[in-house]
Formats: sequence, structure tokens, C-alpha cells
Amino acid sequence: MSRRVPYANLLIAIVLLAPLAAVIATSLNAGNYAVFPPKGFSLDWFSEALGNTRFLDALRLSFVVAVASTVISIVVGFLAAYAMTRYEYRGQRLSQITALGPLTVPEIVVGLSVFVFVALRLQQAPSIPALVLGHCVVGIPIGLQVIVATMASQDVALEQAAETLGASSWRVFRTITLPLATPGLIGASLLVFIFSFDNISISLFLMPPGESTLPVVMYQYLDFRPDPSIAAMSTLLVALGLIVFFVLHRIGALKHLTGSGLR
Amino acid sequence: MSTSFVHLRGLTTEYGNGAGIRDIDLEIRRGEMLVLLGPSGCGKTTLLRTIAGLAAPDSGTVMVDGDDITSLKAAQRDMGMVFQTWALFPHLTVAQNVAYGLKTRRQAKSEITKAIGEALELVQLAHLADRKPGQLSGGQQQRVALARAIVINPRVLLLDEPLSALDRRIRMELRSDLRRLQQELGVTGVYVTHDHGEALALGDRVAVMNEGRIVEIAAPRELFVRPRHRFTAHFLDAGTIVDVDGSEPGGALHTPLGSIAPLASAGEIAAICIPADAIALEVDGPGIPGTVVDLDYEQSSLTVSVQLSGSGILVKSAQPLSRELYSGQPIHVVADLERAVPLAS
Amino acid sequence: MTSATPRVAGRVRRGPTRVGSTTSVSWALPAALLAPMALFVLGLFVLPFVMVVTTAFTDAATDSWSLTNFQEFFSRSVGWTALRNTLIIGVGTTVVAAAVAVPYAYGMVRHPRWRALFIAVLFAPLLINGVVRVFGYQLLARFVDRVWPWGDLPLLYSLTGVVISLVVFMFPQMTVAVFASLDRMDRRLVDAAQTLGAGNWQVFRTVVLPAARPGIVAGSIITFGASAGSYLAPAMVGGGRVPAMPTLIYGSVSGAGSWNFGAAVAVVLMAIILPLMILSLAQSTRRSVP
Repeated sequence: MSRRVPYANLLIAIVLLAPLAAVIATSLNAGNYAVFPPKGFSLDWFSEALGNTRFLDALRLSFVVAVASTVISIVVGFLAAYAMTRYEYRGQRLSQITALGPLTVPEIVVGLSVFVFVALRLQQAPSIPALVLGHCVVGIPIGLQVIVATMASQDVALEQAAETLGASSWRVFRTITLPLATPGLIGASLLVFIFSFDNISISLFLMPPGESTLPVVMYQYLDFRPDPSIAAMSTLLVALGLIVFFVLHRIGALKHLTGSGLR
Repeated sequence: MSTSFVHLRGLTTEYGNGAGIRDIDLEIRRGEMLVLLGPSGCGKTTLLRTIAGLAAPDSGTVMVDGDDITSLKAAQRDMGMVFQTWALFPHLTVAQNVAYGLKTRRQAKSEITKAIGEALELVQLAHLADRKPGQLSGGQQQRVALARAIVINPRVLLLDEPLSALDRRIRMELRSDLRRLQQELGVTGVYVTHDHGEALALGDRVAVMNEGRIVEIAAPRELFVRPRHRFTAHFLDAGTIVDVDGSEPGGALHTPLGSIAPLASAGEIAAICIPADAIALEVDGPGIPGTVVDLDYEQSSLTVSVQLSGSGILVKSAQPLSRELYSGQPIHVVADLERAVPLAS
Repeated sequence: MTSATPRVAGRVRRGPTRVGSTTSVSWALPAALLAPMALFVLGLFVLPFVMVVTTAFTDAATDSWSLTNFQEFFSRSVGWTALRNTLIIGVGTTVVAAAVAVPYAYGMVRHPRWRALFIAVLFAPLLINGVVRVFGYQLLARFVDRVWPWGDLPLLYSLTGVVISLVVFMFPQMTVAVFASLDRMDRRLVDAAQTLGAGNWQVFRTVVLPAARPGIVAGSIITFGASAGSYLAPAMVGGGRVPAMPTLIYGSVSGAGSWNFGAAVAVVLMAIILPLMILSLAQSTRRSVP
């Protein structure tokens, strides 16, 4: 096909990546203000960011919430995916559509819904468990999509072959189904983890009083005193995103990415 | 010792799409290779899967060596199965694939190692024991699948079109290996295929299936030379099939190609099958006039299709390659009805 | 091929259970496996949303059924402004993103050597924190505004800026959808059109654009829903000057503490987005589910 250089595409690519480059450049500022292009060069703001207890507390909370949401979402999603890909039952398509329902609703509405439910029905203040469950509402379908795609692409004859060789249902699951689903489970886990770790629209409603997740702290920090430490923190998150990107790329799970996004 | 090793009685499995099996009765002898032959959707794979325990019949029983195993799960049946896609476990090595069935049987490690070695030796793959299936050719994968199925010493070896995904040359090679192996081991086999050649080369007996039923069972040669049913003759392309118009009581049968003396075979005769080499073509009479409509050249023979002028019937005649004919040529057909095979509907 | 093996397999059973003993375990096990997910969907998604709807129809003062919250929404200018802004954001982002996505996706089809790079560029930002991405946009916007010699650019604190930022953020989703359609296009159609004397623009208009249409539709639905429902862009890029429905929802719950009003805004937002979403969901499962 065409051997010419696709300049228009390159230009768009630059526009897409420029904000990230700006963040990274700004984190290297030597001055006291988060400005781009940076004034001078230093790595001081990284140590500043990592010494900031507000950031660190928030980082810890975000990590705990993301791990918990991921574990719950993957377990629940895997069970459902197993049913959807290994059985035929009435209402199968309906169950698949309903399961993906939360992905079609703006996260701000999901957050409000869970908040109203927790406050009015359960008569509870927002809490870490509420936050985790709120993330799971969207995390489960994100994980489910990936796991279903992986498991549906497996040849059912593999499990049947194991059966004819004398393996019990549990042994078939343990030695065949689970190992073959593992790449999908890893991909799903990473996507759910990143979703939860980066989430702001649901977290806003459900954070326990006096505590904040990292995206919320950064969001508030930007409003209030943007020194380059926020850029340093942001750069670390860019790095995290890119690492996850490469892992997903390696296991071929990238294509499941577009269902979710910035909301 | 009973001659019937596997005994199927009244097996029925209905599916919405019509690919089920209906009231199958079948006896398979110990040590024989039975081929289930038929077109797509005839139920041959369903029947195989029912024997394997991968499909549950709506009614009927499956007996092996006198035991009723109908209610046993596939895992408890001791059947070795080779799948059409081979279904090798992609995350396990060749040796681990072969070992799988032995490990579920909790055999001692040393025994397993020995059995794997022997099985791989048998299929000539000992040197590839540590490869993953993805690194093997199709023919090699097929042999691993076979080794995995026979290493457990199955009561019955079930093969579901195991060669259909391979190139013709490798298919021929593996087919004779398979036959030799099955006979050496003396294992009872059931082989599903839609390929006549495979049925002929592999089967001790061939069961022709259509629409969920067994049409007829016979030794392969018998089936090809003397099909008893119209479906069989048609499916095997055994010759020109001509309907019987009518018959005089106890007398001759009338067909558009002439009448024939009553045939010995009992039962209703709906049609006759005339082998292609029993039909001669004469340029200037005698015979029934017709027109050459197609010439199909193959390596060693020429099949000529002739449309008869009056009835419009298409007959096929085998001719030497040297015969010079052309499409559209007027010709006369002389059928040796003595060699016609009677067919039930 | 043999007798429709895969389909038969599917009908008989797809997994290791229920053979022989033909009891009705067949529905019990999948039901048990689906139960946790169903619990989440019903208990934390459907039921809470129903509660949002009832809250929206409840007067906060009297705690009785009423339309007060909706009357308030449609009588105050803040409601109308938010509604208008959200529609402009949704439609504007979708149209601009589609206009840029189609040539980008076509470029990916035409330049196979570059394709891996262009796909990576699309996907990489999707895994990066939204706050960080908006922050990056802010930094860049200030820089561009500063070096721009011809007056002020509306890149920040304006509706235009919100739309531009959302185009940058939503572009990947739109492009992937369009690319999925274009990639299926028979490339020989382009050759055929060219041999028939069509110029580049004509080829694009008569061959490429029709082939891209399903992707544009699918991508537009996703983009519209995601941008109309975005909280971060109007909040951070708009800087309080571009009220939209998502910011109004959060604002009325956090600041004024008027959940009922916020719930009403959410119901209106859902009324805009939901029909499109149901459409796309029905289509996507039809395509992807075995």
C-alpha cells in the first residue's frame, strides 16, 4: 500500500500524546509552580510528592480499594462468565445484556445511585466497603467482558477430551479450564484494578468522611495549589498506566479496553 | 464369549436442528473397527458422542461387555476418544498430554513414565515428548491425540473424523498407520467419517447413516459393490440409479432402461443401481438414444454422463480414456441389466 | 465437514456436567454461578437506580410524591444551562471526534506498517488516570494560549474548551470503532474504484465512508454517552464556568445537600442517554456473544 508517511495521523497522534508529555515535563520543574514548559530541571518534586502524607494516605486507600474491588469483581465475573460460556440456559442473552448494563450508565449516576441506596435504604454513611462495592458495580462488567471473550474462544472439546480421559468435573476445571482462562483473568484483573484505582466519579460519592482516594486528592489539589509535586505524582500514574498497557499488550487483552474509559 | 462387545439398544437423542439419532440398534464386535459413514447432519457424530458419554440419550441403552453404562459419565467410561480438532491441551507438553489420562487414574509415577514412552514410541513421536502441541505439525498433533487416547488402554477407541483436517498425502499415510495400530492392539474402534475412501480402508464393517438412522451395515467391499439401499448407492456414487416403474406379479421389473428378470433378493425393490462399467455407449445404435452432456476425466478413467432422449434420465458410463467423445454428441446407451443391483428405498 | 459438530456440542452440553443422570441440575448450576453477579446488578445497580428515580419524584420538604424537583430543574436557568451544555458537549464531541476519527482510521488501514504504532497511541492514554489526562490538557492549553500570537484561545474555562478536551479524551474509542468497520472493508474495492477513474476524494466518499458507517454509528453512541456523562471535563476544564448535568448532580448532592434535585437531574440525564445505550448494547451483544 502507500509508502508515504501518514503526516495527518502523526499529527493527531502527537496531539493525543502531548498532554501526557506535558505532565511528564512539568514534573521535572525546578521552580515552585506547575508550569509547562518546565523552568529548570530537578527530580526534587518526586521526593516531595512521595513525602506528602496526603498523597500517601490517599494512595494507600486507593490501593486497598482497588485490590478489594478487583478480587470481588474477578471472582463474581468469573463465576458468571463460566455459566455464560459453558451452559445453555433460558434467558442467556438477557443475562449477558443485563450484566453489561452498568457500563452504559454514566459513572456519576452509578455513584449517585449507590450513594442514595447506602444513605436512604441502609441508613449508613459512606464507608470503605460502600466504596468498594460501588466500584464493583462497574468493575464486574469490565472484568466479565474480558473473561467471557477468553472463555468463549476456547475449544469445548478440550474439556470434553479431559473428561473422556477420566477427569472429574473438578479436575477438568482445575487442570484445563482454569489454566486456559488465566491470561483472560490477568487481563481482566488489570483492567478492573486500573478502573478502580483511577476512578473519581463514583468515589466522590462514597468516600468515608475524612478520607480520600488518590484521584480525588489530586483533583482537589489541582484546584487549590498546583505545585509540581502533583505533576510528579501524575507522572508516576502515567508510568503505571503504561506498564499496564504493555502487560495487556503482551497477553493480547488490549482489545477489550474501549468498553470503559474516561467518564 | 459373546460376539457383541458394544451393544446399543434403541438409542434416541432429539435435537431441534434434526442432527439427532433415532432408535439406533447396533452391535459392535470385540476387536473390530466399525466405521460410521454418512453426510453432514446424519447423526454419526452424535452417536459417537453418545457412546463416549458426552451426549446423554433421551432413551435407549449403551452396553459394553455386558455392563450397562448408559448412566455413567464420560469420565467413568474408559473410552479413548480422538477429536476432530484433536483437542490437545495447549498448555501441556506432548508427554503431559499423553500422561493426562494416566494421572487421573492415579498410577505410579514410574508406570506413567514407562507408558508414555511406549505410547509415544508406538506413534513414533518419542523425540518430541517435551514440545508443546502448538509446535507440532497437524499430522504430529493427530498422532499425539491418538497416543493420548490409547495409552489409557480404553475399552473402546472412538475417533471423530480424526484425519479430516489434514492434507491428502498425510491423511493417506496416517490412515494406514491407524489401521495397523488398531489391529496390533486389538482394540475395538468406532470411526466416524464422511469419506468413502477412509471407510473402505479402515473399516471391518461400515454402517451407513442417514437422518439419524443406520441405513445398512456391511463389510466395506460388499457395501460398495452391492449396496442394498437407494441412499447408500447414491451416497457412495455406486452407479446410475433408476426407479422401478412397476412389475408383473412374480415377474419382470420394468425400468426406463428396460425390463429385467425377477431378482433373487427378497423384499420390495424400489430401484436398481447400474454400475458405470455395465453401461456401454454405441455411436450408431442399438440402444436407447441420448446425448453426451458431460465428460469427466480422471487419472485412469473417463466418466461420461448421457442424458436419455425420452425420459431425460442421466446415466453414467465408464469409458477408457482413449475413447473419443464430445459433449453434445448423439449416442446410444446399452445397459447390462444383468449386473444391476436391486435397491430398497 | 461432519454433522454440524460444534452446534450439536453446544446443544448437548458445553461443559462437564449433567450426563447420564438427566435430572434437572442443568439450570441449577448456572443459576448458582450467576447469582452473585445478579445480586450486584439488582442490588447495587437496578434497585439503587429505582431509588434515585423515586427520590427524584419526591418533594424533599413534604417527603411525598411530587414533580417539584423537575419543575425546579426546568424553571431555573441553571437547569436549562446544564441541559443545553450537556447536549452541546455530547453532540459537539461526537461530531468532531467522528470527523477526525474517520481519516485517522483510514490512515491506519492505508499504512499497515504504521498501524501498530497508531493503535498503541490510541490505547495507551485509555489506561492513564483521567485527572492526570485533564491536568495534562490544562498544562498544554495554557502553554498554547501563551504562545498563540493572535488573541485568546478558548481552550480553558469555556464550553469550547470542554468539547476540545473531550475530543482528545474520547477520540480513541471512536477511532477503534471506526477502524473495526474499515478493517473489514474489502481493500480491493478501493483499487476497483481507482481503476474506474475515481480520485482520492471520490474514493473516500463513495467507498470508504459507506464502509465506515457502522463503526461511526457505534462509536458515536459510545462517545455521546461518555461525553454527555463526563464529570471531569466540565468540572476541571470548565472550571466552574461550564455547568453541565454531571457537575450539577454532584454539586447538588455535595454542596447544597439536595439529593432530590440531584436525583431529578440524573433522571433527565438518563432519559437522554439510555435509549441510545440500550440500542448499542443490544447490537454489541448480538455481534460478540457466541
